[in-house]
Amino acid sequence: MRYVTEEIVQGILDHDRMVLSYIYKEYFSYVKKYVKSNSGNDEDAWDVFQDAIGVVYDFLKHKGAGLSFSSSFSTFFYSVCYNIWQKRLRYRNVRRKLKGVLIEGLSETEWDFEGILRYNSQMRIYLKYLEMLTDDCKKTLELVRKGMDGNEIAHELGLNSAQVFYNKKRNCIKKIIELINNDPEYQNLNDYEKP
Amino acid sequence: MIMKNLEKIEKYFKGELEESDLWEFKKALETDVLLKNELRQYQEIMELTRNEEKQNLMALLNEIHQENKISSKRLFLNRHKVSLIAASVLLFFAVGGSLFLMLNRNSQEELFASYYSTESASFNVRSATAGMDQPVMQGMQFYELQDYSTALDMFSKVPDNIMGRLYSGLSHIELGEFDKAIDDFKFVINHNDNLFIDQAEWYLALCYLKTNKTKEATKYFEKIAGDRGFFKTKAQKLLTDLKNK
Repeated sequence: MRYVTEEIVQGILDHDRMVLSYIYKEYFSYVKKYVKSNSGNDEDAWDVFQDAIGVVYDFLKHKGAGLSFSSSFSTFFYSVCYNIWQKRLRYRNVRRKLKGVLIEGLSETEWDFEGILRYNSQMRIYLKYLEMLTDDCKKTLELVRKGMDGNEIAHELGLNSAQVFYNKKRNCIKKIIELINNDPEYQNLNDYEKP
Repeated sequence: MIMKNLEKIEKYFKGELEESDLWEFKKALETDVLLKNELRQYQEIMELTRNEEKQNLMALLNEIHQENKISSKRLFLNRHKVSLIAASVLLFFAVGGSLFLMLNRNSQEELFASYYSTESASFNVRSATAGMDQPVMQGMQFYELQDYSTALDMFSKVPDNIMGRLYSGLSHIELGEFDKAIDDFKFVINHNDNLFIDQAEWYLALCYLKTNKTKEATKYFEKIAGDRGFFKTKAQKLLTDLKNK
């Protein structure tokens, strides 16, 4: 089944599994081919693809579902991927002529592409290390994510008091920050902000 | 980097700092770069932790990726069914011919198993100098966590780092990729001017032993047994065991 641009846009906003599967099947192989033929590997391609979906999602949320493209969604998506990979190569100091492309609707003054990309890369890195935490920490941070307050979480986890939960949460946050801080990509993320 | 001010930062956000502490905290933010950076990072991490929407989207995308990886493997196996059957027939005959060799190999594998033990990275991680390549540091942490594939990804980012190559070789051993391990150890040895040649020679010889390259293994064990290195006694004992097998 093929989707038109409007359906893709709505599907991304709704986290529609069918639409996301369609995007993956239609576009990921091209992204992979591009990244691999430009000094990257399979893992890099998957990172770029995830970041691109995150960036596009934020862009669509910012613009609203009624957004229309003069070009196709694929052109828009590829130009996002292209820019992400160019920036990655830049912070890896790959000596090559670097050139961003203009992404439709993404003028710098109107939208902070660098900042949104940085945020989405951070999210990917955060989720990678979240998986490495103990089950106890994962559960604790999951309950924080759900927006429950200290007393509710303490009750849910069978803890004596909210303070016990806060101590537990602090240790989990400390651990994940320690892991993230040692990640080479995370350390280089600030380079996104360099001109 | 460890968060030094986490407790204080949490109290600040929860509004639990006493008035005088709050004043001190705000004043420190003006001058203390570390505190300022930790505050920024804490805010970023908490924002990521609370972003349920984005986390759900990424989890869904990961599921799709994993499903597709599995179905691509299945597709590959189906497409290559005939080749796989042919390969199996060949393997069947090859197995018969190899039985004799296996008897010899088994004794070498036993030797490998009794002399090889997983090298710890903890000492090297702790004693790492500030100038050490970050991916190597990170790789050794993954090595210590027994996540050898991720460790290898890290080491591959700095292929000229000697310690990285040594631990890359050790990771390959843990994954049973002995030929790749041999390449890494050879690189360390050929570099010639480093502190890890003893270890690289010992593990290279063990890899040769494991892959049934007895002649090469013996050559290295004899060299180690004749040197004054850390593995001298072990190499002498192993050579005796090898002769008695």
